[in-house]
Order: sequence, then C-alpha cells, then structure tokens
Amino acid sequence: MSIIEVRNLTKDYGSLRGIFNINLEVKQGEIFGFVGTNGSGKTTTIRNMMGFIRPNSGSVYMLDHEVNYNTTQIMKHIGYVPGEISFPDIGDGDVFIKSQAEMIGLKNLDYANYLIKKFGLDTTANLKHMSKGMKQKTAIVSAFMAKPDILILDEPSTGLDPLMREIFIDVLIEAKQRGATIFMSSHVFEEVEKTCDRVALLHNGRIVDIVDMQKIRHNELKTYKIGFDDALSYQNYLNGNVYLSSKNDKYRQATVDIKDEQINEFMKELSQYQVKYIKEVKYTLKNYFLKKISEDNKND
Amino acid sequence: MISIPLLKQTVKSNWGLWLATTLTLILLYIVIKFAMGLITVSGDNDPNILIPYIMALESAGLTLDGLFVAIGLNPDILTGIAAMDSNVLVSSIFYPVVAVLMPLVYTVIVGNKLFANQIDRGSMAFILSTSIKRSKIALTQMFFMIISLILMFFFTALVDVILALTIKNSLAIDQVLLLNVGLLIFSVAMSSITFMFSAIFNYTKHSISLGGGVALIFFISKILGLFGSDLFMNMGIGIEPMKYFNNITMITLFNTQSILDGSTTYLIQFAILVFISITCFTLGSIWFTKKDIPV
Repeated sequence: MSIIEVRNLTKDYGSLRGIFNINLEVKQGEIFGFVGTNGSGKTTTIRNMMGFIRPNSGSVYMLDHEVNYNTTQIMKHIGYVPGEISFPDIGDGDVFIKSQAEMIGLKNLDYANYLIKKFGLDTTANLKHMSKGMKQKTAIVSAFMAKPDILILDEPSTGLDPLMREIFIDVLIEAKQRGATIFMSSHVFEEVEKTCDRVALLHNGRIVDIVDMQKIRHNELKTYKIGFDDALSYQNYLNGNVYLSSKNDKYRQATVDIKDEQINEFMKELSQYQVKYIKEVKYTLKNYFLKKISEDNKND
Repeated sequence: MISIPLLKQTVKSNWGLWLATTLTLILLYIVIKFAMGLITVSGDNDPNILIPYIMALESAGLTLDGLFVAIGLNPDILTGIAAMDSNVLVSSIFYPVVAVLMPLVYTVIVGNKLFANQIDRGSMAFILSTSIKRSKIALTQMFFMIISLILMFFFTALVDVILALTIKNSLAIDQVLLLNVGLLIFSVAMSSITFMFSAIFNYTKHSISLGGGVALIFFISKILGLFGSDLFMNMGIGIEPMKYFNNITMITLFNTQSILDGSTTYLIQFAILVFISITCFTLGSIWFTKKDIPV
C-alpha cells in the first residue's frame, strides 16, 4: 500500500524555477530519500506535500487523503522537520516541546524524554540562543515524539555533528522498525545510502531518476582504475580493450567497468602487463548521481 | 472554535508587550487626570468677574468685541472660550490623540506577530504541521487580539472610573466609560487592519510597513486635523482647511465631541468601526486559509 502518492505535481514559479510533473510513491514502512542540488525544488515539493503551498496542477495523497482537502485528518499522522528551523518566541526548549505536545494532543512524553536523553539535548536553553545543532535536535524531537506514522523530514541532519548524525540514523531506523513511513530530503549522501530503501534524484525541478538502493549497494558492475609503469604496457593494454570506459594518458591510467562474472577473464588478461597499481572506484550514490546530472545537463 | 494550546502560545509570546502597554496607558491616565484636576479654564470661573471690565469699556463707548477686533482676533472666540469646559478640552485631545497612541503601537506589533512574522521566520511550520485547521489558527489569533484589547481597556476604564470618583470636577462616570469603550472599539478596528495585513503578507517588512503605515497616517492626520476641528476653531487657534485631515483618519470615528455633548452621532460611528473590524478580520482570515505559506 502506498502511504504517500505524488501525482503530476507542478508548482511553477516562472523563469524555469519550481517543480515540474513530479511523480512519487512511497510505500508503507519505506525510507524514501529525496536528493538534489541546492535550488532543485526539494523544499518546494515538501511544502506541497504538507499542504502549506498549493500546486498549479497535480496532487498529493497521504494515507489516501488529498492533502489540501483533509489536512486535519492527515496531520494527525505526520511528524515534520522543516528545512529552516525557527521557533516561536515562547521561552526555552522544554516549554516549546510541551507546547508542541499539547498542540498535537500528545500526553505521554516518555518517548520525547528518551529522545532528549539520546541526543543529549539541553532543553533548558532559551530557544533564541540555541545553536543550529540544538535547534535541529529540538525540531527532530518534536517531530518524532508522538511516534507518527509518517515522517516528512527536510534536510533533518543539517547542523548535526557526525556523532549526532549517527544517533539520528539510529532514531530513523527505530522509526522504520515500528512501521513508520519516512520521506527525507538530504544532501548528505552517506546518510541516505545508509538508511534509504529508495532514492529520488531531483534536478532543475524534475525527477531524473528513482533508484533502488539495493542496486547501488550490491552493484555487479564495478569500476577499476589501473595504472601502468611504462608507456608500452599502457598502450598495449589500451589497444582493443573492451572494458575501457576512460583513460588518462598523463598518468598512464585506464578506467574499466567490469561485471563480477568477468573478473577472472579480466585478471588473466591483466597479468600479461606490467601493472603499477589497481584500485576499485567505489560505486556510490554520489557518483551515480553526479553521472546522472551530467547526462541530464547534456540533454538540455 | 479556537485552539487552546495555540492561544496559550500566543499569550506567551505577547503578554509582555500587553503588560507594558497597559501599564503605560494606566500611568498616562493617572498623570493626565491629576493634571486636569489642577487646571481651571474660563468655564470654571465666575462670569461676573468680567462685568466691571465690560462696563468700563461701555462707559468709554467701546465694546469687548471691539477690543478683540483691535487685537486681531475674531470676537466669536470670546463666547467659545467662555463656554469651554476644561474637561471637554483635555478629553478631546487626551483620548483620541495621546491615549490612542499606545493601543495603536500595540496593534501594529502584535498584529504583525500573529502571522507574518511567524511565516517570515518560519516558526509557523510548527503550527501548520499539527492538525489545527488554518481557519482555527486565524480564529484563535483574532480571539487573542480582541480579548487582549478588551482586557487592556477593562483595566484602564477601571482606573479611569476610580480617578473620576476621586478627582473633583471630573467627567461623569458614564462619559468616562463611553470614552474608554470608544477607545476599545477604535483599537479593535485598528487591530483588524494590522491583522489583515499580517494575514495577507508572508514578510514582516510588508506587513509592518502597511499596518504601521496606516496607523501612522491615521495618527498624524488626527493631529493635523485637530487644528481644523471645531474645538481649535472656537479657541481661535484653528486653521480651517486642516479639517480635511479628519476625513483621512479613522480616529475621527472615535468622536469624543459627540460622546461628551451627548449627541448620538458617535453611535453610528461606532457601528462603522465595528463594520470595518468585521470586514478586515474576515478578509484576513479567509486570505490566510487560502494562501501559500512558504515555511
């Protein structure tokens, strides 16, 4: 069952800014990543999903309700971390969390207190004087404390130090384990790689690709860089090489793409040459994404 | 109809300004009312004192009017000043010019904080992401605005009545109450305007410049208009063409003169203020429920 469904969503701000014909489907219990360059439209998409802004065309369904018609029904099930965090002018972190709990009708603050402890958050600090990281943690606690069915997170780990990022990932996994559906935008690839089941790549307001992280993690096509000592070996190796994807004459370096099943054949062939070094280029979401974007830019 | 948790939050972020405004207003009342108790203008004097002077002038074949004309004044001023009641004079300046400034500033600042400021800063996201409907948010903020003004003028009226009872030569209690009710009705109308601009715009700079701009125009026009008012004209210090400024300030609808002379014009003007309030509050609320909120 799909929990979040975005259909042909378009919000045009003119001069090619905005989002265009976005289609997404997030299934129950999935962590869905939303990755894109700055200004690619991540936040605009999320604001449409939350019903804060209304699209020019298309629609967003959450739990089978159209967000702009049944906002109250849907919001009961949603935890939200905004992209830019600013708190109301009402005192310290504790006051805010209690006030927020009251607004969402949450009486039991056990999980909130657990999260506060886990993040090492000092809730007695005044909201105005909080650092970026503290604000982020406070917002995360208020989004997660009611254990909502759906979490919409706009760059939730911004401002968190690496240690806190790890803790945040733990909290995400915890939410997934209890069955929550998570939609998360991010520009931190490692975090997306570690947690997400699927990732949509957004570029210039359009979805370039939606990738299954399993395929990235267990990619069968691997890339190797091979360096040669002498020019002859380098030239000979290049001649008629079927795996070659690119070369660098200056460093006498060849880059090849090899499928796992071809590895033995590849090794046998390579053993005939004077090789200086060989290294695997890790197949990451980031590399995949950069490649997609450059392809996309060429198409434009 | 309204959200209690949101109301609490709004109270928390605005009570300081409310308290400061109310206390300043009360202090202003106390100072002005005691000062009023000390002054005596012609109306309080025994008109018989003038008789020997008039007789002296008449014995020389002259008139008092002639004396005024000789020093370059309109002789009608004489009757104007003679009929002047210090209470009326001071009240006509104090309530619609001095006292009105406090709630004017309050409504501009609070109005902006109710919506635009929270959208501009982004903190509105935490309200919108709860199951509180936008219409309920608007209604709650409106409720706070109106109730906070009612409470403000409840306290000032209370102080004003106590002052009227303790200081001699004060206005009648019903007049005092009506003047405070007038201030309240005007302030609510003013707050509906700042509420509306705050609900329409997503940036503080737009909300404040329009809400505050309108308040400023009203205030300055009232002061300029005062020079063209009957009050100043009767005192001989009026500049007639300046009365047109009274047509561009909403403060004119808080008609102290009508309240003090017991005519019913002020009731119609109160009704207009209420109508303005209903229109602006409704317009702002509807706009807020329909617009894009980029948080």
